[in-house]
Amino acid sequence: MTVNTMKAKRKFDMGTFIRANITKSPLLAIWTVALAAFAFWFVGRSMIARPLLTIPVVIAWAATIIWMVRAEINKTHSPTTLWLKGNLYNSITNALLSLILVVAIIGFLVGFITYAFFNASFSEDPAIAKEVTEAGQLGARWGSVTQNLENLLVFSMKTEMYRIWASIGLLVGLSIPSLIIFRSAKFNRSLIRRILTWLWIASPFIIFFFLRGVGEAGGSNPFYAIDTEQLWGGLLLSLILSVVAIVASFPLGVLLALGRQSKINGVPWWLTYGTAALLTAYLIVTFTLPNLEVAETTGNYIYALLPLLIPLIALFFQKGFKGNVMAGACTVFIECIRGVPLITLLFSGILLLQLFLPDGWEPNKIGRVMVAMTVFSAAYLAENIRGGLQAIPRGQYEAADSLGLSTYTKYTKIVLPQALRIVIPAIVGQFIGLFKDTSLVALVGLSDLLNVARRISSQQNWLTIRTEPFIFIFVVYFVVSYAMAWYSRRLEKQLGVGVR
Amino acid sequence: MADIDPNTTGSGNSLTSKLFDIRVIGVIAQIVFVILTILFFAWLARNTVSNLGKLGDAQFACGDGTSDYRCAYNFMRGAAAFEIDEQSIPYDTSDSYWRALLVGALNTLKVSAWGIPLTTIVGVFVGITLLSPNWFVKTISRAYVDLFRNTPLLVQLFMIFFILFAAFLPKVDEAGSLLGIPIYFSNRGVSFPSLEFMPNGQLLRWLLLGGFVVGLIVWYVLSRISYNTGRDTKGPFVFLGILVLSGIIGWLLSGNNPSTQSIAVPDGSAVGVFDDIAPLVEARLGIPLEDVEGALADGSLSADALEVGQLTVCSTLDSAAETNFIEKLVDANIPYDMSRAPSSKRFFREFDAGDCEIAVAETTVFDEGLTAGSVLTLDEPRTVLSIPRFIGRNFIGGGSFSAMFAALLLGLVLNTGASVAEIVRAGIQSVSKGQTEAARALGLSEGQRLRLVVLPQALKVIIPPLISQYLNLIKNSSLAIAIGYADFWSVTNTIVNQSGRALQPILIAMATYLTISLSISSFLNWYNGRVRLKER
Repeated sequence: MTVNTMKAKRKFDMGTFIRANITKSPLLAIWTVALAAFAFWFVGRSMIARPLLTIPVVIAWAATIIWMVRAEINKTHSPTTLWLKGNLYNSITNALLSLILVVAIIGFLVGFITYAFFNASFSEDPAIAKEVTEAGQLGARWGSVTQNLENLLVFSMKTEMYRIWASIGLLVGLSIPSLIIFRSAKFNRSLIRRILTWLWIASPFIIFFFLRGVGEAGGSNPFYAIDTEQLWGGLLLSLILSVVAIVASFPLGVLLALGRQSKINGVPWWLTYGTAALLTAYLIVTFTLPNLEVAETTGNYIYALLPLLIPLIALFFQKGFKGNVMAGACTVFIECIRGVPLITLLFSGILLLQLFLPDGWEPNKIGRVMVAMTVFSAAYLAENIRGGLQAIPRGQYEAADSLGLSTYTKYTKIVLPQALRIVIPAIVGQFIGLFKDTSLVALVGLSDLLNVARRISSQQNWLTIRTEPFIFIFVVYFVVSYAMAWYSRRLEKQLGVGVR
Repeated sequence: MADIDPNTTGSGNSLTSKLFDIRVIGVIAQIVFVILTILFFAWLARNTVSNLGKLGDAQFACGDGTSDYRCAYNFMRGAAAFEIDEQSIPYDTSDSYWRALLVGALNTLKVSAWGIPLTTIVGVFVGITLLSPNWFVKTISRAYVDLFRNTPLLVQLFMIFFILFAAFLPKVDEAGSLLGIPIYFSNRGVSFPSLEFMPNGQLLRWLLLGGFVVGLIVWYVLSRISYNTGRDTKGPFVFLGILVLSGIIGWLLSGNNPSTQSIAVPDGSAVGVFDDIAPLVEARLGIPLEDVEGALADGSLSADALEVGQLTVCSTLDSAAETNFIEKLVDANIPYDMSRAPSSKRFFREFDAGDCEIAVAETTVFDEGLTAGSVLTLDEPRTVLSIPRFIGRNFIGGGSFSAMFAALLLGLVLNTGASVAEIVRAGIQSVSKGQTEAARALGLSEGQRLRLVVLPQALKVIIPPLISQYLNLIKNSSLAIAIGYADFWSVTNTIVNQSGRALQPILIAMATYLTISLSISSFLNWYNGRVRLKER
């Protein structure tokens, strides 16, 4: 049966049409009339401003409607007219909306293209750029972006480009054989496939070595250690930070998820309460009483009374986690990190991390930010992995137990491989989130993509130029995130996770 | 469930199997874990103590000159000594750091309180348009959602603040009204009309607010009754009825108090009552007041002549009396020039120096500091509709959002709205098609179908992630620091810089955000448990 014969059964009736589109309710009638008036006014305005573009649109709009209506009345629908009927002209309202939106989109596009191309200057000479754009109405000075392209992408690493080429070379070198080996079933259990997998797993570490380097400059070592705080920046820094955060947080996240999920027998209640009571009593005598004597302010009193929190914590721990120390600690860690904004963690990393480290450990700003982002990422990753663990059917655990597998083997060979497979799309999603969140490091003074774009407006050549760099990084962020999101959706389909 | 079930493993009797019994391993693992954790924290604490020691005793200085950890927060009572641009409660540089933090917290609250309802509106609207049968509507909504979900909020905020507000919106003196409604967008922010309650109308305001809350509760109870019994309880009408009734009662009860606002005139002024002002100005200008605008337009009255002839007024900044007086002047067509003093001291200095013919303020202000001149009581209505007007270099009257606040709000709403739209779309799609068909088969109208069949089921799916999005909005408002809006985190950061102490302010900020997050997520857990129970 073809589409034509299927649809042709219903007969077109003018009365029904009018009732459904206009006279069904007074509200609908008012709405339709108002929308028609607005469409008339809006299209009329556009017609005056851009007649050459608007008139063909209106003609095309009218022609397709007539074409569709004729097909509807004569029952001679083709796939195109059916699509028109279903997607653009389902009702009078929708037909009008379609027209208004097309005209609006054209208006927007014309405005943007005029700004971005016709009135724009692509010269890197600020004087020429100024002249060109000030002659027209409003034009982009793309020179601000092209001149800073290296800064935006790799910042000061432009002097160390061989490191980046080495990293890209490694990735390409791994990708080409992967295309063949991971695709064909012939290599399913072969050694070469295993080696390749391990190389992929090792690649972030190798690239990190390429980019950061080890050892002194000079000598025969081309990958000597560089000052990352000075050199890393731009898109490169955003990518490094997000990859480091996700890779470094992975083991921590798995442990946290397993810990939170664990159901091992807890500390017995008498032990918890007993310890808490003893500790409280001891602290009241040695801490609270002396402090209460010298207390002057409300804050001093609160400080003195802090030991009274211990019984409360014990109660919460015993009631909430049945004495399970591991689950308790992991849950508290996860919830505390998830409960505060990332920016507070970043500032803590910059300002406070140094306080917790012993003498001699002085990570630079990038290192501190990495720690903060790893901790942040671990908490979210743990929740994602916990979701995966919960999705594993109980039968899998029972089957593993009945085979007599040890707990370690059960988790590494049965549970985790399945759980991780389920959460891969969620982890990609989290990676996208991290990549977007790296823009926050601009606020603590690192030269990431956003900050480089922001600083262009204070360059001598491009004073106050903000729009163009921002549009550029907006597009970069969008393309990278959207590509990954698209890949994640594809992966989800392949793994069959989406069907939940 | 991924648990290690004690009943499925290790039930042997020998010593080795007992040792490897999962229960024993569990206990050992926990002991090891506790010891490791304690060691780790002890290590951190030792480092911290030694590092704090290096920072100097001043960090923990007590009032009596000694130094102790208990005094870690004593510095917060000292003067903050920095300005905050936006404040919901009175604040000046001599107030304490605590007060500054409170101002910041209220600013965060303000942006969240505006943002959450607006996000809901945007999200629900776009969520529905994502399912529109119209291809263009669907595609445009999809483009919006994808664009805003795949770019960082911070970049969006910068673009809104630096491109939209700073470059595209007109300068403040060129701001035009929006389609004839007196709403003005400019690079300094947004100004819009607002309904101001005078001291005389406070009772009306509280009764209206109370009526609104009580009405909502009654509506909720009625809808529960309706849900349980199937009767139509007409909740919305009862709600409206309660609101109108409380408004009427409030109107009748308020407005009878003596006026709290006054104007002062210097000794020897021709003004004895408010109605004397109009003839005075009219005499100076030489034309009827109704014709001033026309005369200005056709050139028969020069701007200089108007400047000489118009009424000069002094007021204290943003007082209710000022709003009331301006609306009265506008009603009487009296042209005026306004000088607004930020403090009452300056206000009186200007008045005593003869800078203005009339000073307007709350009566209590005059009682305290007026040295010469006479005070006339100003007629005070319950409410005044205050409209923004461009006077001098700024908009005066009405409500206003600063550019920072407006940009932050817009960014948060657009960003969170995109996520909410996806949630709403998924929620609506989660209701199976059979439900719709069944509702149609029962003869329900389209409205009934949405209200009684689709929405209740969709809401169960929508509400938990929706609340997480609200939480995200509150947490993301901390990005305000990037565009200079003085929210909680931004004030915290200023305190860190100002006081030279990092640990204490950051701990306060984190604890506050944590409290908000944990209370919202525990509410969410409670709600989820309740909804899930009902399904069974």
